[in-house]
Amino acid sequence: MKTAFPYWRERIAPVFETARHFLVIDCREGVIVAEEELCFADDDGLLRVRGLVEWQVAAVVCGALSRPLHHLLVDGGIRVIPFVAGDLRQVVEAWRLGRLDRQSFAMPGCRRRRGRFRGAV
Amino acid sequence: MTKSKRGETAPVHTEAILESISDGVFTVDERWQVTSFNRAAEEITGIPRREAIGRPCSEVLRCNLCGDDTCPLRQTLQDGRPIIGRTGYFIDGDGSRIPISLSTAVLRDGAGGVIGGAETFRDLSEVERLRRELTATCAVGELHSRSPAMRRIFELLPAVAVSPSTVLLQGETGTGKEVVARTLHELSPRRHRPFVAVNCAALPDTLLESELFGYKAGAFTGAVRDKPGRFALAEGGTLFLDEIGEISPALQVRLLRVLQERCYEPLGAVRSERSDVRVIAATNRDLAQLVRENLFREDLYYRINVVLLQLPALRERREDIALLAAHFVARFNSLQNKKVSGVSAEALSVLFCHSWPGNIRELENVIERAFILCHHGEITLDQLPGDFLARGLAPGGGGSLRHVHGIIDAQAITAALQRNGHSRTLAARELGIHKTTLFRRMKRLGLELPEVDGRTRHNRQE
Repeated sequence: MKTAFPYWRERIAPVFETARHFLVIDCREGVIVAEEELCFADDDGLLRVRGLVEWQVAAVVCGALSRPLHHLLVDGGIRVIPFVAGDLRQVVEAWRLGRLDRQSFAMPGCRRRRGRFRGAV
Repeated sequence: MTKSKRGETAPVHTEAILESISDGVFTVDERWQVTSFNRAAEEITGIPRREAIGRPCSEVLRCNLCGDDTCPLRQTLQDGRPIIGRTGYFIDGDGSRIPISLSTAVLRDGAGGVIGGAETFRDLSEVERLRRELTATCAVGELHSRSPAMRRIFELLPAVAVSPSTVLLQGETGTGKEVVARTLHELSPRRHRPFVAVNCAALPDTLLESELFGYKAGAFTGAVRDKPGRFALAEGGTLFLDEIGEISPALQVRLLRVLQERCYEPLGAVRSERSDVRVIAATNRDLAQLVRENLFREDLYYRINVVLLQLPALRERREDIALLAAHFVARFNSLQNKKVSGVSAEALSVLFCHSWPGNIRELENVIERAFILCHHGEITLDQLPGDFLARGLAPGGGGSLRHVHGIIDAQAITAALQRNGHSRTLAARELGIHKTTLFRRMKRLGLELPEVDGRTRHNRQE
């Protein structure tokens, strides 16, 4: 299962639509079997959606994301875990282990829902 | 704490001022972590101060300008020059884009050393709302709507238009798929290039192939000269493929190749031709279901389904009926040089109750038909088609409220009977009246009892 993590300065990028770099991991049974990098040169959010769909990404763990793009990602068959913040490697590791905790990794003002994002299988 | 040298503002006073202003203000240290966050910043962003303090400013404000080359505060801290009134947007916790204007300044300590930066931001939502009201937000291109069902499409259209992505429009017949396609083209950078529409269901497969890709002289008997296809005619522009669900498997393969490799061969050609065409496909069928039934290629489905816009049926956006009717009245006035002032309230209430199986196209036809009879003034009940008036109602009832009430009653009863398998008991229950009242009203309105009786299980199963 491929999961994409848009990042900036080694943290989850604050805004999905303007993130330039996406780390894409392929995780099988809790083991990362491949890592790839997707780069985008401009600020077109739709190109990111299309890129992720074409890259056959199954989930995206990202920072702030506007509703229209959220809808498009879901329409493209991608599971979206938005409003996540934190160090990229810590988020990836928490995702791999299924321990991406809302309390620890939520962006400020986004902790209303308790619980855990289900991680990679 | 409040005592200070003349000309300096004490920290308590500064804090009080910051708390009282309507602009959001926050400060950051040299590690870009938020050190203060005023009351207005809390209100505008919806983020409590205790959650903002100590977090990276980019994760608090999450603005489209956050980035290496675009962050105004970063620029200010690099060159020492303040920035005033730069516009952008941030994304709030609900995923809404909130327009703001930003200003930045350097923070220095008493000795003049840089200790961080300050950013103020102003919520422009209200200004933006007023601007939209002034420019009539209920219309984008030829699209007119006040319906929440269309809001998402209106939100998406500008962003979808500027992207080169293939778009799939799904919706019942008459919901305006071609109008949306034209609007996307008009809003796109390709607007000065051709918009070419092809109805894939209107041509047999062999003709459609030569129509799309063209042919070379000698390709077949009668092909005496080269003929460019629709892809060539739409070069640099937009090709609208309506009824895409109707094309044959063989043509699906060719279409997939064009979309994937951006090149194709006209019939009889020995060389491929490059194609720079944005494709917008449309269908009134459930393409996912066709894929499951192996009637439509899965790879082509995913190729055209990059952006899916689902157009609601008119019965799902009834609040738009008056707006659309007014739009069509204005258009036919212009085309036919008439002065019809609008649709009367009684006629409008009947239009409102109709189920509109033909959607917007049906409404357009109804208004066009009414224009044959109406030359000035308002379109009245009598000028609507006969099937809009319930069976058995005496014609010439005029526009009286009683007459209109009767029409609406009859339509409600007929629809309730249909929904409940012609069961009088269930229909009466749904309408909130007793069964005997239902029979009495049907008799008064001249409605015939349906032949199928909802009580008979055997009949329903058949």
